[in-house]
Amino acid sequence: MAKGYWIARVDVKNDEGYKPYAAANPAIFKKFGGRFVVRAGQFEAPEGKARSRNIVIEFPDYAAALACYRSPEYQENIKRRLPHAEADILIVEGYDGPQP
Amino acid sequence: MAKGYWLPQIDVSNMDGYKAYMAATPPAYEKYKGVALVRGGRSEVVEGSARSRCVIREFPDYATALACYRSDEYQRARPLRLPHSQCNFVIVEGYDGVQPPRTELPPTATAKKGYWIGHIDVTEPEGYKAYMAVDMAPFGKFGGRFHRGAGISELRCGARLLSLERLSRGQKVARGQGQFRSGHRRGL
Repeated sequence: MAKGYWIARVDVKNDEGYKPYAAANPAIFKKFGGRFVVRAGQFEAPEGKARSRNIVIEFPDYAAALACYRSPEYQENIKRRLPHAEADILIVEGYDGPQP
Repeated sequence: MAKGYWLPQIDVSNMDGYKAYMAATPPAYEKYKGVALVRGGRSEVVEGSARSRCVIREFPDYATALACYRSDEYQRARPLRLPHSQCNFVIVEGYDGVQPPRTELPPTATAKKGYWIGHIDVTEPEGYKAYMAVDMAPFGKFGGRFHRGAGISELRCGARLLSLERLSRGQKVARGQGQFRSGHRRGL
């Protein structure tokens, strides 16, 4: 079965304020089998627009990725982030078809 | 070493025109070992905004991800995309630091699991207890869980059924085999 992913693009306005949100996430992701694929690594944006922080989190499947976002724990944690950052978050089903 | 990723988000205005671009890209992906983790697929924008199609393509490292984008092979294909779509294209270095520990069953995991089924005649119950006492650590490391219910009839005739359930799809059967080969379990 295809995995599920969060693709998040975040502009952090207040680093100190953002830290408690980031620190609380691993325990929430753990519950839903999430693992970090990308966590604000160096990047280039050769086309179009980008935000300063890129995050990709992989889940066992699409349903788990959605369930984690909708969980009471994560919804509560969002409140810690909102005053300190602007984010675009997309949840998408993985691809498990033929590869080159 | 951390992997590298392409994270393009695309609004396609002319799918027929866009298909010619998709047909022209495989040589670049083959040369630079780019694998699609996401390629379209169901999606939901839960915060902010996103373009309608997103892709995650994984490369062996960040330098290779950049090199593929800049390669002659990809730059020959890219002009086929531009008239038919708008794109936000990010190339980013992956993460290889500490991960959230996996000690619980993801509540919605639905993929097939891998199992150990051990049929054991216990000849010395007291001695066997010592083996059982150290079981938990290696099983925990590989996401294993015990299912004992099926063993009742076997217990009656002195045997014991033990199955090991893996936690999540990423671990697959190979992970169970890896545990057996880890050296913790050679006594089974």
